[in-house]
Amino acid sequence: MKLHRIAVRDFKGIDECDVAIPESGVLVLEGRNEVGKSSMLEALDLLLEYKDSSRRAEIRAAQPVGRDVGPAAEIELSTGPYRFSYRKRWLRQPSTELEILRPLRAHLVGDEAHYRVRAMLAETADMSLWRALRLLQATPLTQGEFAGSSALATALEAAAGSAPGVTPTGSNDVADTLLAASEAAYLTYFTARTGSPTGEFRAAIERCERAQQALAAAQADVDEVAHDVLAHERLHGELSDARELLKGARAERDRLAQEWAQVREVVEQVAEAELRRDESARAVSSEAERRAVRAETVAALLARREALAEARESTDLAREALEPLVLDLAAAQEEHEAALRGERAARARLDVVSRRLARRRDEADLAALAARLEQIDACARALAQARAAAEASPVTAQVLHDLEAAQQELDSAIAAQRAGSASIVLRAIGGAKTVQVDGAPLDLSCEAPWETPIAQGMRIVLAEEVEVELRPEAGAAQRADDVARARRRCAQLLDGAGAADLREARQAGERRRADEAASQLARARLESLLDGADRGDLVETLERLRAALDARADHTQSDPSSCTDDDPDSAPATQLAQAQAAEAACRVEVTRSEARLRALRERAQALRLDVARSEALLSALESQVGEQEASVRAARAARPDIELDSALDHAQQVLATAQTRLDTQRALLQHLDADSVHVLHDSATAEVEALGQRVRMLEEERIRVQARLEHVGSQGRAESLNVAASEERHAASRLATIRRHAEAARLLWTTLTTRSEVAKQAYVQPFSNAVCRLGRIVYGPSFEIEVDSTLTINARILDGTRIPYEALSTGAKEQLAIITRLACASVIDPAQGAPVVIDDALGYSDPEKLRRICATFSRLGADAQVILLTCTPGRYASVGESHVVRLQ
Amino acid sequence: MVRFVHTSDWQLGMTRHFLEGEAQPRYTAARIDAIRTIGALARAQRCDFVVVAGDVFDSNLVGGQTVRRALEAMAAIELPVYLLPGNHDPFNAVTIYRNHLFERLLPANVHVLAAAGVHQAAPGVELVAAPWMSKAPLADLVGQALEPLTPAAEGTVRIVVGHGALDVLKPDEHDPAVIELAVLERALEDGVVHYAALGDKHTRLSMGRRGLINYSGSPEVTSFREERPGDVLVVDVRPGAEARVTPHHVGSWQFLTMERIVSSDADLDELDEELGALDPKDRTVVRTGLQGTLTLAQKVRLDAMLDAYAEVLAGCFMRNRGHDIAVVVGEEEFADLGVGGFVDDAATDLATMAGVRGAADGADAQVARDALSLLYRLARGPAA
Repeated sequence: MKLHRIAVRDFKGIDECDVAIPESGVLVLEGRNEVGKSSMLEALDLLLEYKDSSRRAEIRAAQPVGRDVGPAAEIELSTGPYRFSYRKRWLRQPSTELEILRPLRAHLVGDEAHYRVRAMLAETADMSLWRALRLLQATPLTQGEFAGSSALATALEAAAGSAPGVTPTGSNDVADTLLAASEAAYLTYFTARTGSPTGEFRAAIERCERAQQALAAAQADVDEVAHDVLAHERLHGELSDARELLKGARAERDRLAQEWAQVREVVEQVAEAELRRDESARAVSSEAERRAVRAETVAALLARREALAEARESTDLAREALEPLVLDLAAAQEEHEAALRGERAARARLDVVSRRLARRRDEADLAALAARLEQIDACARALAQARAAAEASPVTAQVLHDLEAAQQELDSAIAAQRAGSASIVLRAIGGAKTVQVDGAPLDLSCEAPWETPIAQGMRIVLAEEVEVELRPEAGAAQRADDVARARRRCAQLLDGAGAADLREARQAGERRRADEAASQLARARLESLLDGADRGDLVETLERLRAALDARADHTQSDPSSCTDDDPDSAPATQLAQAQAAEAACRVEVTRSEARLRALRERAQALRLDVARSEALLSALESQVGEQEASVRAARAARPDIELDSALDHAQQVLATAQTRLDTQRALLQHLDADSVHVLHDSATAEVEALGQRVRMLEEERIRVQARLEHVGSQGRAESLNVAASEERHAASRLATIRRHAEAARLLWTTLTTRSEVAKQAYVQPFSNAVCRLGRIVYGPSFEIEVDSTLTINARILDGTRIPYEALSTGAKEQLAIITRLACASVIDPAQGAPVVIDDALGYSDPEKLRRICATFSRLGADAQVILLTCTPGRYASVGESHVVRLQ
Repeated sequence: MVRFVHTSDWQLGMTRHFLEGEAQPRYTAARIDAIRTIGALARAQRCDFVVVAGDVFDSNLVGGQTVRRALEAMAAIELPVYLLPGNHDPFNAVTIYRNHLFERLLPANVHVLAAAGVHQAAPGVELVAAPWMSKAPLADLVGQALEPLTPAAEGTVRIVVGHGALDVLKPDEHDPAVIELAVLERALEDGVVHYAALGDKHTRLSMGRRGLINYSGSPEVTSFREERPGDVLVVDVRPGAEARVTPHHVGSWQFLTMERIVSSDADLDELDEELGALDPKDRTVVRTGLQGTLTLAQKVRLDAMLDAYAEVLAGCFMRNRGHDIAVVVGEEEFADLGVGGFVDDAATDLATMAGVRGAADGADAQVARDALSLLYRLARGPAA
C-alpha cells in the first residue's frame, strides 16, 4: 500500500491542508504544535474506518470548535492493482466519493464507495501491518504487533524459505484458526494457567471421587451387616457350646461339694482332738509347777536360817569393838578443855601490853601538834601586819607607771611647744632691767636672757614706755592646749597618789613594794606550816587527842592489875612480842586437841551405827524365819509332798491318750487329701461361675447384634450399595471418556503449539537479522536482540550485557520502536507493505543517537515510504535524501 | 391335578450398572410389572398357586420402597404365593422376611417357606421347602429336606422347592451346598416328590432324565450372559402321571451383545441397519464389541452413529473400555483439509504416535488417535 496524497478540511484545528506524498523515500512533515500533523493521520483512519453517516465520538470530536461545518478528509492511495482517490465528509452534508483510477476507472458514492474501499483493502492491503508500522505521538511506546501481519509473515517465511525442516505455508489463517480452535478445546478441559482439570473434566473427576467415597461408605455399611450376620451365627454356636459346658461343670461341682463336706467333718474332728490334747498338756504343766513351788519354798527356809546365824555372830563382834573407844573419847575431851583455858590466859596478857604501848604514842603526838599550832599563829600575825602596811600606800605599781607616762607626755608636749612656737628672747642691755610681761614684772639680767615661746598673746611693756603685744601664730594655741592637758593629767595623778611630785610618788611606790614582798614571804611560810591542813582541823585533832588521852588515863587508873603485871624494866615492844608468841603457842595446842577429839568421836559414831544395823537385821531375820516355817508347815498340812507327785503322774497319762487320738484323726485327714478336694471344689465353682458369665455375655451380645440387625434390616443398605456402585461405574466411565477427550485435546494442542512455535521461530530469524542490521548502525557492532515467536523484542544485548525490554530507558525504547518498524519495512516487498509513519518521535534521544537513527532511514529499500512528523524543524536534517514539507 | 406357576430369581432391588439415567428406574419398574404379568398369566391359566424358588429379593437389605412395591404386586396376583429364601435373601439374622415392614405389609396370599420340610399348600398338595438359612450352608439343603421323607401318600402331589446349583452344573468339589442331581432323581423315581422347582439360574433350564427338574429362570432379563431369560413355567402335576411343563414369556426387556467387524463404509451401513431394526429400542440394551480398521472419517461416523443410538436405546455401550478399531490417517485426508505448514507437521507427529504409520500401541497411541480425530473434526468443522 502506498499513500500519494492526504487532504483534510475543517478537521479539528485544520482549516485546510493538502500534502502530496512522494512515491518513495522519506517525507518529513514539519510544523509547530497544534498545526494538525497528528490530526491528518487521525483523519486518515476515520476515513478508512467509518461511514459518512457515523456520529461516533471520535468524529464529533473532529468537528472544529465553534464552527458548524462537517469535517472532511481525502486520500489518494494505491494498493495491489488499485489506485484510487477517496473522500468523505461527516456530520454536515455527509458524503462519500470514490474515484478508482486503476486498473479500471470507476466512480462510486455513498456506502457503496465505502464498502468497495473496504473490500479493496481487505483484498490487497495488510491493515494490521499498516497499524503496526505506525509510531504515534499519542500512544505509549509499544512494540509493533507484527505477529498479526500476514505480509510480514509471508516476507519472513520467504526469507526463511531455505531453512530445512520447515514447511512454508501459504494460508496461515487456516492453521491459526485451527490452533485457536485446538486451544479452545484444550481450555474446555484444562485451566490456562496451571493446566489443571477444569469444567466438565474437573466435575467428572469430582463426581467420580464422590462416587467412590459413597461406594466405600455403602460397602462398609453392607459389610457391617454381613459381619453382624456372621457374628450372630457364630454367637449362636458359641452359646449352645457354652451352655453344654456349663451343664457339665455344674455336675462336677456338685460331686466335689459332697466330697468336700466329708473332708470338713474330719477336719472338725481333728480340731477337737487338738483341743483335748492341748488341755491335757496344760494340766501336766500346772501339776509340775505346783511341785516345783513346794521344793523352792523349803529351800528358801533353809537358806534363811543360815543367814540368821551369821547375823548373830557379826552383832556380837561389833559390840566388843565399841567398849574401849568410849574410854579414849572421855580422855581426849578433858585434854581439850585444858588447852582452851591456857589460850584464854595468854590472850589477856597480850591485851594489857598493847594498850600501854598505844598511850605512850598518843602523848608524843599531842606535844608535836601543839608546837606546830603556835608557829602557825605567829606566822599569821606577821602576814597580817605586812598586808596592812602595803594596803596603806595608794601608789601601786600601776599608779606609778601611769604617773611616769603622764610626766613623759607632759615633757614631750612642752618640748613640742618650745620647738614649734616662735619665741621671744629678752635680754637686758646694760644692766638689769625690769619689764612688765602681761602685767607682771620681770627682771632681766644681762648675762642670762629671758626666753619664752610665744604660746599665747602676751603684752610686754618695756621700760613702761613701750608695750609690745605678741600674738602667737595659729598652731600655738593647739600646742598650748596639749601642754595644759598633759599638765592637768600629771597633777590629777599626783593628787591620786597622794604625792606632791613625782619623786615623792616614786618613794611611796618603793615602800609599798617592800611591804608586799614581806607579806608574800609570810604567806609562804604559813602555807608550809599548814602543809595543806586547815588550822581548824588541826585544833580539832589536838582537842580529840587530848580528850582520848584523858579518857585512857581514867581507864588505866581503874584497872590496877595492869600496872602490877607491868615489868617496868623491859621495853614495851619486847613485852608485846613475847605476849604474842605465847598466845600463838596456846592456839596451836587447842587446834591439835580438837582434831583428836573429833576423830575419836567419828569412829565411835560409826561403830555404834554398825551395832544398831546388825541388831535390826537380826530381828528381821528372826521374824521371817518364823513366818516361813509357819507357811511350810501349813502347805504340807494341806497337801503333803507325796500327793503332789501322784497328781503329776496322772496328768501325764491323760496327755498321752489325747495325743494318740489326735494322731489317728490326722492320718485319716491326710488320707482324704483335703487340699486337693478343696482346690478342685474351688476351681469347679469358679468354672461354673465363669461359664455362667460367658453364657450371659454371649446372650447379651447376641441380643445386641440382633437388635442392630433389626435396626438396619429396613434401611435398604444393599440397594443403596447397588445405587452407589452404579453411580461409581457411571462416573468412572464418564470420567474415562472425558479424560480421553481431554488427553486428546491436550495432545493436539501441545503438538500444534510446538509445531507452530518451531515454524515461527524459523521466521523470527530474518526479522531479528533485519533489526540487528539497523540496530548496529545506532548502537555499534555488539548490538543483539532476543525476539520471541510473536516478533516481540524481549531484551536488548549490548556489549554482552542483557537488558530486558521493560527495563530499557524511554529513549532506548523509542529508538528500538523505530528500528523495528524500519526493519519490518525493509524486509517486506514494498508492494505488499505499508508506509512507516513516525509521529514526533526521538524527543528522548541525544543528538548522536538521533544522527545515527537518521542514518538508518537511508538504509531502507528505495521503494519504501516513510513519513516523519515533527514539530522540531531540522530534527531529521541528517536524513540523507528527504522531502520536507512545512505545514502552516 | 394341580397347576401352578414356577418362577424364581426375581432379584427385586437389583441395579444394573450399565443403565444410566432414566433407564434404571424403567428397568426396575419393568421387573415389578413382571410380577403382575405372572399374576395375570396364573389367573388366565387357572393356576392354584405361584412358587418363587428363591432370590425373591436381591438382598436382605433392600429398601422400603422395593418391599412395598413388591408386596403390592404380589397381592395383585390374588393366588397363594410361596416365597423361598434363597442365597440372596437367606432366612438369617437379618432376613427380609422378618423385617418389620415386610411382616406388617405381608398380604394374606403370600407365604414364606421359612422352615425346611413339608408345607401344606392345598388339600392334597405338599411343598417340600429347602430354604437358605445362611449365605453359606454347609450341606445340600434339598437333599437334607428330602432325606427324612417317605414316598408321598396316595393322591397327594408333592413338589420340592429348592435353590442353588446342581452338582452337574457346578462341578465345584469344595462347595458343600450344591444340589446332588442323583438324590433328586432318586426322590422323583421313588415318588417322594413329583416335581422339583429350582431357582438360582437366571435362564430357563430343564434337567434330569424326565424333565421334572427345572430352573424357571428370571422373569426379566438380568444379564447379557443369559440364553433364555424372561420365562416362567406353568406346571401341571397329576399323581401317577408325568408332570407337564409349559414355558411362557413374560419379560419385556432384552440385553444384546453385538460383536462385529467393521472395516468399511458397508460394514458401518450394516451395523446402522441392524441397530435401527431393534425393537422396542427403549427396552433394549446393546453392548458392542467392534473390531476393524477405519479411516479417520469412518471412525468419526461410527462414533457419531453410536452416540445417536445411545440416545434412543435404553443403553448402548462398548464391551470393553475402548475397542479394537484401528484408525488410518490417509495423506489425502489431511490434504483435503487444505491445511499446510505446521499443522501438517503436527498431524505427522500425532500419526507417528498413534502408530498408524509404524508400530505403536498402548494408552499413548490411543490418545494420539483421539487427538487426530479431534484435529480432523476441528479442521472439517462440526459437519464432519
